[in-house]
Formats: sequence, structure tokens, C-alpha cells
Amino acid sequence: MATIRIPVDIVVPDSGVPLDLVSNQITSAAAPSVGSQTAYVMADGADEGVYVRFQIPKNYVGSPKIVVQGILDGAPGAAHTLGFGFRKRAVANNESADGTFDAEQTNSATIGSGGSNHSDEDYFEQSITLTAGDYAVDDQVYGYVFLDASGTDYTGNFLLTNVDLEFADA
Amino acid sequence: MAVLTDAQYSELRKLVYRSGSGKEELKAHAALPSGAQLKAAFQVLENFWEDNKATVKANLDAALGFTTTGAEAKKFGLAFLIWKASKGG
Repeated sequence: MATIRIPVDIVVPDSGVPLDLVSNQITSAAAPSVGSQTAYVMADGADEGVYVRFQIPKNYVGSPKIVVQGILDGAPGAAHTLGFGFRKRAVANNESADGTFDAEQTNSATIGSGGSNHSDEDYFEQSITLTAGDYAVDDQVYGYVFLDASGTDYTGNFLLTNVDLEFADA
Repeated sequence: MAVLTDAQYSELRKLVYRSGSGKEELKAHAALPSGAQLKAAFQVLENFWEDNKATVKANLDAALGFTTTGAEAKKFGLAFLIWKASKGG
């Protein structure tokens, strides 16, 4: 059994989450550099994020996680926290795609020197553990990945670059 | 005194922490303030506004020689703030 990650499609962001060049957000190194990448600019205060979609692959067995990945824009204080959440609707063929997404699943971590010791402009990733029984092979998943304001007191921007589905295979 | 909501704080925060608008000044500090600290800072400005706007309007009316409507007074205030910001504050 192996742990696998596959990218999910980021379909559309909330209106307050612009897509921008990383070089417009941070003072990046001379090109070519990460400055030429694009990122969704997320901030604390109120929950905000992006809508995603993905299909559960044939070799899915269990241990699902959503892995949020991006770049920190601003130095965190020692005890500052950063949290993310995920809500979804997972449907099989012939099952209604329309319906309010399930309740949120979240994670939060201390990212300053009192925790993971991240710094300004560091790559950052955080995993949200999902309920394995909510997903079956070939399910289409419509989801919402968001910065969880209740689990965040870091006030820098989070530059979201990608989201992965992590799972254990057969 | 109105307490800023999380949604209002989020709007204010994005006006300050964006390129060309104050982000570089905040990032120059060893560490950013926490969300609670930043929200408290905006609350200071909100409290100042609420504490003084009635007095400012009364003085504005005295200077003009007539009583302005709320909408009129706001336009004077907004025009002044925009002009002041364009001159560097």
C-alpha cells in the first residue's frame, strides 16, 4: 500500500480571492523564479477560498486528505496559527449532484517559531484529514477549500498555488 | 460603539495589506501582528470616527452657515480624505 497525491482542479475562487502573479505579491528573485507562477491570494478575517472538483481514482482504498499548498506572504509571530477547511459533495453516477456541501472538516497549526517555524515567503502545506467512508471509487467530488478564519490568527496573505488529494492505494 | 465584525475586519485588512497599499511597511516588521491585534487597531480608528463625527459635522455646519444633511456631510468628509491621501496623508 502506498500514499499517493493527485492534483485537484481549482475551478473558481470566491470574489475576494484574486488570482495574481506571485511577483505582484512578493519581492521575488530575478526571473526565471517563483514570481512567474500564479496564486490565489487568501487572507484572514472571514472564511474565503476556492471551489474545486476531482474524481476518486480506481486505486483509491482510503486515508483521504486534502493537501493545501502555497506560499506565506509575511513573517508569522511565534504563536500565530493558520488553518484551512474543506466542504464537499461526493456523488456517484446517477446520484444527484445538487445539494448543500457536507459540514466542514478543518485543520489548524501553529506556524511561527512556537510550531513549524515557517518564515516569510516559505512554501507551506497543510493536510486536512477527511472521512474515508464519504468517498468511493469513481465518485465525483465537488468541493470548497477555504482559509478557516476561526483557526487563523496569522495576518499575512496565503498565496494558494495548488491543492492535492492524498490517499492510500490498494 | 459599534464593534467591527469579522467580515468588516477582512475588508479593512485587505485595503491595508495589499501591494502598494501598506503591505511592505507591515512586512518590514520582524513579525506581523496577530489577527486580534490587527482587528483591535482598526477598532481604534472606528471608535475615533464614531466619537468625533458628530462634533465634526456640527463644526462643518457652523462654518457653512447652514445644517447639512448626513449625505452632504459625508461627501465633504470623503472628499477631504481622498484629497489628503493623494497628498501623502
